[in-house]
Amino acid sequence: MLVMIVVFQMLNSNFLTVANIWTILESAALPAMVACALTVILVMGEFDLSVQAVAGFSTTTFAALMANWDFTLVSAIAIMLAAGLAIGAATGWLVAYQGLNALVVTIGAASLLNGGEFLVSDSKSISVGIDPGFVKFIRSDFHGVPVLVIIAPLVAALLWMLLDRTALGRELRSIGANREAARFAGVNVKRTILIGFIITALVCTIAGMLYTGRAGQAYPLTGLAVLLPSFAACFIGAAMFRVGEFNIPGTVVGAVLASIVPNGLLLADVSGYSTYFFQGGILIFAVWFARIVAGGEKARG
Amino acid sequence: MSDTGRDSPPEPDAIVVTDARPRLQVDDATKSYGGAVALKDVSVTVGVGEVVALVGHNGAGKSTLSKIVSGYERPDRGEVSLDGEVVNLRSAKHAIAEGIGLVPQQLAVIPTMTVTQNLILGLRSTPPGLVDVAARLGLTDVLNMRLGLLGPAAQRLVMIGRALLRGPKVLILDEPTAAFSIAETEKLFKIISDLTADGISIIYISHRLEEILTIADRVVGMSQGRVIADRATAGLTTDDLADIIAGGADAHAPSAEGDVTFVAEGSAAPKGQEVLRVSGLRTTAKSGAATFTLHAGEVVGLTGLVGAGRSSFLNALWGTGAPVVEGSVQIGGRVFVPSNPRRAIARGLVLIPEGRQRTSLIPGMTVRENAGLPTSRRRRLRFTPFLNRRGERAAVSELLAELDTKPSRAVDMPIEALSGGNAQKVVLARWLMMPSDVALLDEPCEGVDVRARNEIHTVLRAMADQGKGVLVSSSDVEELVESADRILVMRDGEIVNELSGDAMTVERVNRACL
Ligand SMILES: Nc1ncnc2c1ncn2[C@@H]1O[C@H](COP(=O)(O)OP(=O)(O)OP(=O)(O)O)[C@@H](O)[C@H]1O
Ligand SMILES: [Mg+2]
Repeated sequence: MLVMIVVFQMLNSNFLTVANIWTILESAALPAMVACALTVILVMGEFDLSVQAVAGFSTTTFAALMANWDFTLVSAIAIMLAAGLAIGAATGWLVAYQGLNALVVTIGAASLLNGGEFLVSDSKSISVGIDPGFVKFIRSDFHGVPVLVIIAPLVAALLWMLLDRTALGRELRSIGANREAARFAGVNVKRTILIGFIITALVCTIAGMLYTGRAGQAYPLTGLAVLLPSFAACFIGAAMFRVGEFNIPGTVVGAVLASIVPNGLLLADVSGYSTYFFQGGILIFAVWFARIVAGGEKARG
Repeated sequence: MSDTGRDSPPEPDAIVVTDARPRLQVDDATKSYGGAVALKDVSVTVGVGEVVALVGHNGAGKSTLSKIVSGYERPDRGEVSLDGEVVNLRSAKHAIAEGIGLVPQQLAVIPTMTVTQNLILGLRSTPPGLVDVAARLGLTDVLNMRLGLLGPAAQRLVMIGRALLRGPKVLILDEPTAAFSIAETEKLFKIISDLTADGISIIYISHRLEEILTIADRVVGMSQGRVIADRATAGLTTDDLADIIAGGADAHAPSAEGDVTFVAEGSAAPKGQEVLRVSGLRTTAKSGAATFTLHAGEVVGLTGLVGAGRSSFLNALWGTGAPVVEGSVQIGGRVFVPSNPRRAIARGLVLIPEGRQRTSLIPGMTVRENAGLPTSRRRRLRFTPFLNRRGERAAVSELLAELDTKPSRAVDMPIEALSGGNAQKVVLARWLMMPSDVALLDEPCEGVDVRARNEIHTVLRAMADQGKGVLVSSSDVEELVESADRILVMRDGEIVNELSGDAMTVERVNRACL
């Protein structure tokens, strides 16, 4: 990854300027939030392919609530949080209590939510009617530090404390590491999985709303493009800090690294479609790398 | 010639055929993990058709040595020779090809596959020896059953079968009998004698001293990663073995000296209140129904052959086993309907389950987190959702010290870094921290060394003295006879006999099991 930074710096000397570093971090903030949310699911040994869809649905619906249905900012936020909770509860219930495969459930949910974006926005672009104060706030900075670069680490820190310092977090991790043993130890496995899905959906919803503010407009399926980078971030994180285990600090670093690439490519004037190659390549490489590191450890342990 | 002479044959020119070149020779093997030395300059030889027992306290390095001999781990230093030639073992596969097979301490089977599928796992074609090996292990009738339906003893036999199918010259058995009752153990010994008659050498690791005297030709004692004794078994007693094991561990611990008894003073002590009553409880797993009572202040043993239904009965109470068909349970005089562990905990019942690898240990977590998992909701800092980690660390360390866990700073180590017996102590500590009135323990001493076993029984007696009812399920009858107030014998899910007082002898209990 260091090599990459050096290469980008050589291709464009603007790459490592203070302004561009803030730009990178600012654009990494929301993907990092979603990646942290995904970490919660991965820690449980489950999967969630709907993170991007939840965030996107939130972006569009949040805008639509304010623009098309004249809700105030606060009530729109409240409605969206309730919606996020409901989405997480629905997928979590299907996975935990009905025993459906998380992969399939979340792919299905993603498609439903994508459709929902068109429904709530009437397939139209929304640009007027979004609370201007909110947009201004999200785009502002605090002593030179973009607001999002403050919010995202706060959310990450909260999730980290949750996973590392609370009983619930310990239970989430125990389910991922040895579900049978967790059950024998009295962990309420089903409820904990349900809660995990709710937390993830809520955080993704929040990220989606923040993106409404950052973009200042919304159009179906043009929200955060974070699915691949999120997974890449989690796996890079698993390979880095706690070997072979998903963890929030690793995911944050992974998310920043994963968003350096598009930025660097942009500055290096590489054609747009090459990000596809890079994102796909990085994801596979990250998984592979995590595997190698974890495998080496296992052979010894 | 670097040998210290301990291996010099007693009668130089006796019936020696192969003495000159031992089948297996380990020279100065050293292995450390991070800073911790697990093996230090260990040299061991094993002759053709010889059974060498490795004994030593938990964490002495027995498993580490067997992993090095079988290619699972590479030593930092030292070498392994087979028939006089140095083999540079690169991997377990390589070791198998050389004829060294390991049956590790941890069960590694796939419960959803059949016995046959498990046996031939990793082999390209069905080996010709399959029928023969299955017959040897008594698995012929269950070859097409899912392995998960059979108990840990059968799973262990399958693992042994897997090693045998590869035609080993040296077979290493790491605590094979930890979950066995007498019948399985005898079967295993029969198999071992057959193998040694064919010239196959055996390295046998166990904490059961009688077994070692029965099966082993030679005993190698280990302590803190070193070999501290290497003696022929003939003439040794269990006390000698216990001395070898204790001699290595820091011998000044109180319970290391003298005989300890765990039987309550004045053995006919008045019973306390009834804490658990099980009336005609039958599960889908076994056809019999269990009926018994447990009183405060007593330690009751539960035994039976493997497959007698002890674990499925205990798991049914815990809500993690086969569903209950009929019967009722009362805890402290009030009806209790088994449904899940949380309900049981809420009613003051805890189960320490058997098979720690599957049912207890959480890989990737530290010892502290593992031990604290069930109690973590009760251990919060005031007015916050956060765990009181300092309090937890103190509580766990204290219990681990009481149970003689090694190494002493284990509390912050990852659980994977602990030896088998020490991991078992973490499981015990986990549930000792949970407040309870009734404690059910399923094979609590599995893989635990002699001394720590004494510690565990002392702790159980102390729990009973605090007014708890303690039910210990074990296939080691001797241990129960020594420690329990009375013994229940289970057969096919039914309590068929109860022995106490003078009737409670090893022999009579064993007979009652059949
Ligand atoms: N992966 C590891 N990392 C760190 N230390 C380890 C690791 N594996 C083993 N050890 C340490 O090496 C020592 C020897 O362990 P080993 O498993 O060989 O003991 P053992 O004699 O088999 O004990 P037991 O009777 O309890 O099975 C122990 O102190 C253990 O903590
Ligand atoms: Mg061991």
